[in-house]
Amino acid sequence: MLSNIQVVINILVTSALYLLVSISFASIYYPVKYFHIAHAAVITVASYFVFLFANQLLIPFSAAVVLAIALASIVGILFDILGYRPMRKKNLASLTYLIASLGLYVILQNAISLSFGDDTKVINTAEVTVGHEVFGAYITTVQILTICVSLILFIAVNLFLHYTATGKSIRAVSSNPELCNIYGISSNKIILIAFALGSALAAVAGILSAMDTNMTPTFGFNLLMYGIVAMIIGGVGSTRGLLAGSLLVATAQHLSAFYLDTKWMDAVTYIILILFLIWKPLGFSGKRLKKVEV
Amino acid sequence: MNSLFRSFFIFLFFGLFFGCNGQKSETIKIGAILPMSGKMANYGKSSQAALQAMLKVINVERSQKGYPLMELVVEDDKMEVKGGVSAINKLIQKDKVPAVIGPDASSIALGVAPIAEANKTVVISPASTSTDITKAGDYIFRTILSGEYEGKIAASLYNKLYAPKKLVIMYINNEYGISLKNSFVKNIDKSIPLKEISYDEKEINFSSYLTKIKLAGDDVIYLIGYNEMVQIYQQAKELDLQVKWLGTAQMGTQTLIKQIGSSADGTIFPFWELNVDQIKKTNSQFYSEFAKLSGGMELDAFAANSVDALLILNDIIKDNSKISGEEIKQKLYNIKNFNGITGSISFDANGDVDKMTVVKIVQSGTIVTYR
Repeated sequence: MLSNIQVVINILVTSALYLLVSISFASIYYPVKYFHIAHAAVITVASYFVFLFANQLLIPFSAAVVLAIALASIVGILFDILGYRPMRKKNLASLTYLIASLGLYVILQNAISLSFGDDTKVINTAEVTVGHEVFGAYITTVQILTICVSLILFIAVNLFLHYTATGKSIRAVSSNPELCNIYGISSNKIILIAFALGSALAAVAGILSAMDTNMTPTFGFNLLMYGIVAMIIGGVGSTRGLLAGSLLVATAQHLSAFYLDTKWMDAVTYIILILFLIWKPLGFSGKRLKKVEV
Repeated sequence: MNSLFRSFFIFLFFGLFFGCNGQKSETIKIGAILPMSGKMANYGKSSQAALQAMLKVINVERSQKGYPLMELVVEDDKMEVKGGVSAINKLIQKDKVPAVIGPDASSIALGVAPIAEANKTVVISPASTSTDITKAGDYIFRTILSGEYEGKIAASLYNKLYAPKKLVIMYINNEYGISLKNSFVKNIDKSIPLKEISYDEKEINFSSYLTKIKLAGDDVIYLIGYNEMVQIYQQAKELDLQVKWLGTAQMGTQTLIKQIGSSADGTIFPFWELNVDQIKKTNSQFYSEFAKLSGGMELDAFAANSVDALLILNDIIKDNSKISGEEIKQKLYNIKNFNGITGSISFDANGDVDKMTVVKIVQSGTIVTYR
């Protein structure tokens, strides 16, 4: 029994992180409809900003985190203004965006490697201690924080999208950008807001992950991949589906590690993705999958 | 136009003349292939600082004796096989070095070996432990113990201290990890319940591996890895994983132990004679130079092994500025009980080093000899 509790805790922590990454990716994907892979670099760069401010420039940790989230958001905005917006004007195929996005990812990831080195960096400098005991299982403070922050942000983003004018505009642009332009909603402006929001959320996910398991310049990529799988399984277009998708991916990974072998964790994730794409292409939510380009 | 051509040829002539003259200044070039970028960059930087520091000491002695000075050409392998291959090609073809110190990673050393062998250039790796290095060629040497040997000692430590407790081998899935794991398994009593867990080089979250170990009630972990051992130890502590740790010679790096913190306490591992405090006293000139160049890094095991490779080459080359790789190779096989900073060094018929091993343990964050 005790054994199951530790696995459940691991599943909860992992799904909280995937949930945050998938909301951050989805808030950009829904309005733009292409895979912004450079998002992985935003996840990474935010935690390196924290490392720079808190560990090297010795700015207080909380201030460093706020500053890092703001800067990561600006990086996301710059991706759109300098990278994607000129391409949107030319009305290019979505595959072009994917390739451009991969290029942007490589540039930023290499910049991080060159500036900070490829070795593991630690931002959580507190003395490592045994986690809090919960029925014989253990959970650390950072992991509790991850679960709470993720759930709060998930609810907040849902409220924002459904009950504010800007949120509604993002959903409108996601549904039909041309019609929005006709009605006087600037789709470019809305997409920019989506990039700022998504990048800030990605920054939070990256910082929490780095506080828990430290970081390397490539850690954001794996995290993003699982977030995207969670989004597709949850049902593209549905924010609530993301919760189910994240839980399923994390559960599958940890149970396969426990009952099969740790080597199966990745394989099982992608097997589930393929099964969903074949048997339930609309994901959990059942909403129509308008366009998914990989 | 003619005058332009004339000036160009005069320039070319003088360039060639002075170029040739430059080569006649008789410095002896030695190559070094180190991971100056990539995941192991901290090892590369510390080795480079140690080599440059020792080179300075050596050159002072050389100029006193009237010997030609030695020069070190350092190339970055970027912790990739293709990086190592370009580096060795450049060192052989452009710099015409008779011997190379490095590479660190076994996979890169194995990639470089055939090229060095074909060009009769000596390669002395300070950190490649793969068992395949033994048969990689006549020109391939190492100043680190073979994984075959290290695995055997680790296995005997387990047999003596912990058998028949439940054992897990957690290893990095690359040439280094696999060969050390295989050698360990070969030397463990076949009746021991044994589990193997491998992980990829890029992984940073080990909670599911460690949870599995905890829930299975395993008693001993033999951990084979690089810097990611920091996360493994930390995450094990967060999970309150109560196990005995057996480590590799990698644990002999004080910087790594400092990063891991108190979680590393109690880890037992095979190592060799590397008493940094003693080196500070006996080789004070070297150590103060090293401290200056490395920016306060601790002298790690690989850097010390690199320095030994350089000291041996210096001893062999003496004043022979025209020495070939072939001559160096012959003389290396005759090295017996060379007094290096990592103890007494000899090479066997395969170019593998033979030096005394000592068992060490981490106690309150410092490495001490295990008794």
